[in-house]
Amino acid sequence: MLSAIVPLTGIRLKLLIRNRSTIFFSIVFPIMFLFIYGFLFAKGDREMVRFLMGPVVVLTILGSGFWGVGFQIVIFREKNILRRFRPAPVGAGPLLLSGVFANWAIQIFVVTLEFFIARLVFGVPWPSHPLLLFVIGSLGLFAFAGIGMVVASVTNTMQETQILCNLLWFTFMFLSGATAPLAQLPEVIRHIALFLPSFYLVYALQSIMFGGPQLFSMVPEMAALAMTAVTSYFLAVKLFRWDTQMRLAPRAKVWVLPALLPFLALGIWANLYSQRIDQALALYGLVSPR
Amino acid sequence: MPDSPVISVAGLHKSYGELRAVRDVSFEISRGEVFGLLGPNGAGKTTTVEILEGLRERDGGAVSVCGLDPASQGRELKERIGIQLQQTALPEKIEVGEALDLFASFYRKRLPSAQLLDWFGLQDKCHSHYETLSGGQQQRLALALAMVNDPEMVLFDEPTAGLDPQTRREIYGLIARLREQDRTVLLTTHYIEEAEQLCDRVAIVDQGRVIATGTPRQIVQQSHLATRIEFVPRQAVEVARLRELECADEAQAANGGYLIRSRQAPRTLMALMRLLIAEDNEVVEVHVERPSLEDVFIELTGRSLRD
Repeated sequence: MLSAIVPLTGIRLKLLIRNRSTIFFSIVFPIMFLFIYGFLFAKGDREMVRFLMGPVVVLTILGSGFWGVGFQIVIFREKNILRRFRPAPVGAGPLLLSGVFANWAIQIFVVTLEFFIARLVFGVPWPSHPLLLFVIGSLGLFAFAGIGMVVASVTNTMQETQILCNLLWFTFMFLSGATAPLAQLPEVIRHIALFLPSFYLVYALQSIMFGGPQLFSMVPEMAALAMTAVTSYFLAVKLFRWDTQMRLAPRAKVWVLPALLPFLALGIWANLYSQRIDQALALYGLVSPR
Repeated sequence: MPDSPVISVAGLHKSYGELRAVRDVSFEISRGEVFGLLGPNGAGKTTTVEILEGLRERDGGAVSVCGLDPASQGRELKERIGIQLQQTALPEKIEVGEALDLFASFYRKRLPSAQLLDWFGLQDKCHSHYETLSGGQQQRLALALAMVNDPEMVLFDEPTAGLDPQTRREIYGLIARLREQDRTVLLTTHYIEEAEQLCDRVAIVDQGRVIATGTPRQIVQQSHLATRIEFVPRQAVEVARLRELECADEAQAANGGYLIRSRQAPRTLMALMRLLIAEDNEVVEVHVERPSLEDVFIELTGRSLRD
């Protein structure tokens, strides 16, 4: 399996770099988000940009998972590219993982670039725990790539994929603090946010930006992200289809839910026992207009 | 002792719901043979081949490919055979050489990509992106990709479908080279000339059944179809005398000459020559047309291959 993943990942990286629309949506677009957040929302304020680095990175990760990894599988399936690989002694696993790893490599570069630009343009300090940031960012990339893969596996057409991706994308984006800070969202939405993987990623990244919690306190978030990544991978392999003639029944869309189960559990736990909402509000309090 | 067959299919069945796609199909293919499954679209050719490739499960029957059962030993089988499926593509921006290297990396046994580029006439295209290749070049690359593991047998599903006549002839040349290399080839086609030119033996398939098997010549000979002998003599001949020629089934005046139908054309031709010499006559023009596999298909099914 490993012997196939390495060359496949190499080719996927080359293909990503050669594709102009990938360059735009994977690299230029996230940088544009940084400038929009930095100049429009933070009005160039260094501390506010520092706070918004979490949402900016999450938007980068979220977009790459859905549109970079998930959508790419559907494009490959619709163009009969996956069908070409079917007779070769290479299974669905290496094909899927190569897309995840290639996306990870590109996005690690993009996120690093975002931090450099934030430092140069807005004077944002370096994150206090770069290694933790790297680990959580990577887990986020793998988790959202996994959800993107499951979406691609349970949809039959490009249109279905777009609908499901947009539904999840908007939910993850608007209800989690990745756009409007949690402090500005109604109380009920804050509790709903505790069920969303994007909330935990935003919170974890913001905490790291402000030198907050250490590795131990991030364990629930990291475990949920890791479990989502692993569950999604196995689901995507199980539901993998080589061409458009292999169709899934509409009820197969419920397979997206097991991929989100770790966050259902985390959401229940966080709503009952954790202080995550208060902690997130406290972080916002550090930078909110004084 | 003769070699055991490379492919052995006995009583193969496959249904999709109510549709019986493959019904009691049996055939064997020997080492080094080019074997064709000839039939119209929807005849069950692709289903049969995909079962042999291990890509589709069978409902019944016994199948052995290179001594392996595709249903349970698919992984090992993929290492040993080359497969070209219908309607496949590669990413637009992948280079030809990269594609060959990538697919070769999946196998234990590999042919150097330089050799494949040379073999399939793609040397100049090594660094070209897939999207810039013509249809014929893309198909040649598809065949080259089926050969990256130096397979002992190859399965081509409609290798020339949708290609122009010149490109088809190029592909025929490439497949003929595989035969020279003593590789076993199974191909599906609905082109008569492809089966007649390339295949040592053919199985004609219709509605999931094999309705005739043998060399193209044997199949034609086994049919009850007559060869058409059209000729123009220097002087007129009595049609009644032509009807009395050895093995002549029918004779008539046609197109300024004569048309004789015979199921034993060589004998009838010899008898015709003797008659013309005896009458101090001679042939100005002659045209002999054997029945084709298409004619046999129409005789057996009442339909054309392209229906």
